[in-house]
Amino acid sequence: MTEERFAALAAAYGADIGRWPEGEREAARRLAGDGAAMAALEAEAALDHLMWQAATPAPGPALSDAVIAMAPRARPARGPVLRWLTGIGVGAALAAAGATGAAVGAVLTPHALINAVLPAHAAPAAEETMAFDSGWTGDAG
Amino acid sequence: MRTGVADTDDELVARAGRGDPAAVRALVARKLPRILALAQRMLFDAAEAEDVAQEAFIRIWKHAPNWRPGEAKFDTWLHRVALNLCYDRLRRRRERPTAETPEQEDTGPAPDRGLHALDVGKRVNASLQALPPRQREAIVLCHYQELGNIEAAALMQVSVEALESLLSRGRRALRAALADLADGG
Repeated sequence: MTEERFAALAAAYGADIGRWPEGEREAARRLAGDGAAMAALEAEAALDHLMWQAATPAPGPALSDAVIAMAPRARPARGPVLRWLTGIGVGAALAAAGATGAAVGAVLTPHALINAVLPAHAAPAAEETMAFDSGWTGDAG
Repeated sequence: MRTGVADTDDELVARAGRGDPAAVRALVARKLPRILALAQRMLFDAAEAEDVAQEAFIRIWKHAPNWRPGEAKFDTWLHRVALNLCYDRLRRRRERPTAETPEQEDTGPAPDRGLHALDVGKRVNASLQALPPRQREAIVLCHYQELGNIEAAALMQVSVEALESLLSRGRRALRAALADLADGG
């Protein structure tokens, strides 16, 4: 490493050779005892020291709390009894939905449903409801 | 629910993504001061810096459940996110020239006040704020955030040589602005 390169690195990265480019640190440390190199390091150390006196405020508790409050939350673990009860609940809901679907399907066709929620002039043409019709079984269970 | 000082960023992110409260707290303790300091030195506006820090964490929490260790260094990714948020705000400031910009601190010496550490810090911050943005960014990333030169250059999308040039010019300008302090004031 030349003295010029040493001075250039000091001018860019400061006096701490440990923060210089990794591949050049060893050569720089060998040169650091030389007079010109030492002078360069001293000058940069003074600037480093000044720069570190520019503190920034630490995060306040309100900011930390707000950030933590936005974090993902673990889904609560369920024990075997709760899982069993939940299973019963899901089964019951499906059965109820099936019964409701069958009842609704018995009295309302898809066209009747559409016409019930749309004004007459806004009712879709037959071809527009074809896909809807083809998926309808009247059995939501 | 373990959290030790040796946890890597990746481990903390993965556990935070699963909703581990200890990992969430550890990640916030480790990264929030770092990101807040970055935003503060890029924007010189405390309220905006806090907004950037919060927005950066919203993105962390969003990506944490799907974070894939090894694909990117988490700290680098986080700096990229925070820098982009800072750039957005700086761009908005430029586009609204009539909008109030953060008040620049007095860069002159304060002979009648004595050189207390607080005064020195304010002088340094004011000098940093007065630097051209790219020089300031290089100094913030390398000096204050302590990123390696390759990482900083990649974040700034410049070559390492260009980064060194920005750093040298920035430090030279700081030295000139703070010459009275370096001489013992």
